[in-house]
Amino acid sequence: MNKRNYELLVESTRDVFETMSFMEVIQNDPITVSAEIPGIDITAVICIAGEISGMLGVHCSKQFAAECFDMMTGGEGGAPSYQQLCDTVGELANMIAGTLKRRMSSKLDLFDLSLPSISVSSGQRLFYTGAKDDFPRLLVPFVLANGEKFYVELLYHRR
Amino acid sequence: MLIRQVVKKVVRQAGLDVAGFLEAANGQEALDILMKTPVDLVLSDINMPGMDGIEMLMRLRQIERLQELPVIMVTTEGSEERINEAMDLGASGYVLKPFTPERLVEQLGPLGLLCKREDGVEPPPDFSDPTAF
Repeated sequence: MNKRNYELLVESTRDVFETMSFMEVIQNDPITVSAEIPGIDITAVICIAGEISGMLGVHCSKQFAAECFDMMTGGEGGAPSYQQLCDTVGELANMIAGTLKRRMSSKLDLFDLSLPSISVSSGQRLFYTGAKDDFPRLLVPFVLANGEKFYVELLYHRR
Repeated sequence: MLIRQVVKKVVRQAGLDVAGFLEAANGQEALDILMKTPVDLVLSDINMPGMDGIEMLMRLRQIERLQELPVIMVTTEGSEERINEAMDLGASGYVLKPFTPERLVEQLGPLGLLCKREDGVEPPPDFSDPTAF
């Protein structure tokens, strides 16, 4: 695991939550051994292409997405639709990826980011099966103050 | 969609009238609205499906009556290259996501769009209650 990239991913995630929703998030150690994570309803993926290629993903439950929507809209958004929940997770992934990109390369576009792609399911399991040496995979669990968990994943390869 | 709601909330708290707040999902939809409806301010992302914010800005500036329309980019795109590209095309401001309410309002002040008190001074928006944002 690249410690610097882990730190950048954690800092970027915390920055997004603390700035946009005033929510403090606490990271746990990255998952490094095979694991099966239940309770995933929404996954947002941003593809990365350029000097660094790969993907950044945010995996979470509907409850987590609803909590974020509520905090970011100050409760004015009413009860969010499923589409709004998906949009919320997509926007979180977009902002985390954008912040990570800026922290990695402020002057030049080291890589480009795609628009988010969203997968929805109900109570699916996320499997972590390890990473290859030349294609590191970081999967970092985060937890909100209310105990709600979410996962941020970075899979990347530098040319 | 989410960011549009957040932006709407911030500009309303800053004192702008958002009764006529119009939304577009991409640059082409925004141009279609701008061709038909007079507006005071455009807040646009860069990364959007279909026509992105840079192309929208470029096309908008080619329309004579829209050449002076304030356009603020609100985006995750933070490289100097991309910021310079937007500013060269005539963006009035540039806000990086994630943003604080104060950061967005800072960009509105110079445009003279914030509500003024009788003494002509812009009242500072109150963002002290985090749950209100």
